[in-house]
Amino acid sequence: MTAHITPLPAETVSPGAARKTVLEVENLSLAFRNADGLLPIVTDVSFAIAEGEAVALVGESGCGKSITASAIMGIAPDNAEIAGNITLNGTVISALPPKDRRRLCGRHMGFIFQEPMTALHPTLSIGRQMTDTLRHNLGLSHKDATDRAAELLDRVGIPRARDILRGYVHELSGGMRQRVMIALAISCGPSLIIADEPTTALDVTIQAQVLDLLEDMRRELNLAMLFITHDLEVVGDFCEKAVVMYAGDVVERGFSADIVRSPAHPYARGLIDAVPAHDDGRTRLTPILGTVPPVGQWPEGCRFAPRCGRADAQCRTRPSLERHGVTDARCWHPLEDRP
Amino acid sequence: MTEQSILSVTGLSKSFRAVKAVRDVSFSIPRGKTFGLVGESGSGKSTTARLVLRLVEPTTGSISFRGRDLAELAPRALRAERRHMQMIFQDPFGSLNPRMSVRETLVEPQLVHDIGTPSDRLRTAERLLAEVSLPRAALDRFPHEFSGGQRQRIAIARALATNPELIVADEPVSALDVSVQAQVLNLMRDLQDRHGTTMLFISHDLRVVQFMCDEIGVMYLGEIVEQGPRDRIYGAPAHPYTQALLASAPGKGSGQRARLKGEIPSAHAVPSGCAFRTRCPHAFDRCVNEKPAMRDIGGGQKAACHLLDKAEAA
Repeated sequence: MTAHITPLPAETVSPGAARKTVLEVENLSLAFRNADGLLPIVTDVSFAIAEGEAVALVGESGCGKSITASAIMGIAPDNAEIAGNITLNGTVISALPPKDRRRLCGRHMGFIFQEPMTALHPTLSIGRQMTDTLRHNLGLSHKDATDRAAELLDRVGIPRARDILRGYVHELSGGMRQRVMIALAISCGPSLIIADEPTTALDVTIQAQVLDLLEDMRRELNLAMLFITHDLEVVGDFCEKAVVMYAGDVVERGFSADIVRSPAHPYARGLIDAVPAHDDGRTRLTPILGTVPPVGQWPEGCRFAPRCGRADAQCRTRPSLERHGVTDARCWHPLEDRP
Repeated sequence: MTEQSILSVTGLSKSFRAVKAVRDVSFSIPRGKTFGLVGESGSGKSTTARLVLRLVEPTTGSISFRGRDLAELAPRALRAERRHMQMIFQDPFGSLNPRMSVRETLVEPQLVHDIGTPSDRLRTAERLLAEVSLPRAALDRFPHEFSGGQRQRIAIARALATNPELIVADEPVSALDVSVQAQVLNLMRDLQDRHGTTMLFISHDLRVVQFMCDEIGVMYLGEIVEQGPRDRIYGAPAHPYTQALLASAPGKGSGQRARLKGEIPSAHAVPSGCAFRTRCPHAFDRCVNEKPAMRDIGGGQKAACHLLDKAEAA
């Protein structure tokens, strides 16, 4: 436990050299405007990512993790009302006019989506998609862009890069498509990569290859990475920090190792216990009772309270995200029997 | 075979023209036990599941179910036998008829197999709903009114409606969130304990298979490359593919991970000799020329790998 008393967020694996903060999200809220008024989707999300650091945004379907990512990328739907600050390398991008924001984000943010088949263009050659991006953002000539594209494909482990540039997405396997997405994401030398469930659609041996590649890229290019996933086990292996979301709220935030080993929030504990663990000989799992409340029908106070074994009258008022032991949790009754 | 197998599959193969989807698969499941088939996409596990139920006609091989060879049965006899085997599919959105109420969904299989009187059938539907922990009020609702987890419960209740001896579950929890997945897995184990149902369980998720299954077959490119009791497969995997699969699973910590190179080859062009040799870190010349035979390595565990010969010779 004593080993964890290093609460300065910027200070993690590389002691001494303080790492620069790349992305900072402060009190981000997002609501959809519809006929009945505003439907809140995400409330009060705050976290920061330093260079070379991977932060996971974890939660089940409908918790708001992907929409949080789209708000950061600036591609939230038109009817979304967004509040709070998003700062990229010291510039408050949430306040920029769309055109300026696009110019900045095109160069400094790279995206990797879950389904490369829909995220990449089906009838443009892979080379065209890559060179368009490079020419637009970096102003390269056609020849330079092509050379650079081939170099990038080579770097992400795609054989016969020049041939592949002339090919189309449908000719590639799932793992190869995801490698093309990674090449595209790093093509303009970004400082931040946002990866939304990048390995969920892949087989386990391919998932492992792609995770290794992402990790290599992060280390080599000193990238900040926001990694959106539903799989806590991937988080433990791959990300230094984690932000656990439930029903549009951040419920726990801290170092992944701490959250995976001894979470403070009952929901995080529940997520861990619900997974059949490797070889623990259980004959029954410990599910979280009930279901995630539908968007817009969140209970007052703590949103997890109706499914929580520790809930009492106090949980009818909304808890704030506070430090409990080694992590931050939004809970009136955090778990204390932490090993 | 041993004990009292309710299902015993021998030399099962299926080709779709040039594609050899399933090649020479054999296994048997004792009554009341769960046999798991695990593998990556394209390994032939779903096709095997469909072959067992004869939803797909096998090219060769026999399927002995309750002492009869399903592969030989005439259509009418096969239909009658289907009463004793039911299936749960991956996608609870696609596998339930959107125009049928839950009541109709649960009564239909009984009607098809001419089980009971109308009031019996309704009572059974009500009982099934209670067994999968859905309220009675759900009877008159339609699939779109339920969440994914609830739909999968309905699909399970439907599978139980004819009181089958064998349930084939093809990735039944892959579409569900973890917290809901745990509920459904617990439910399946409860029902199995209560009814003594035998299960063929298909999944790509090693953790789920480990939790659910007594015996496991690992499939690669249409073949079972290793099979045996759960604890042997997870504790002492003998085939390099099984070893790699287990090492690739997340939650094992990063670093020093053994990684498989490349991807599963196309079933159009299965490599000569051992199908796994193109990705195997230990492949040597014999693997190119000679297909390894399945060999017994004790404790009910079998694997098809030339390395096992080497180990024995040494």
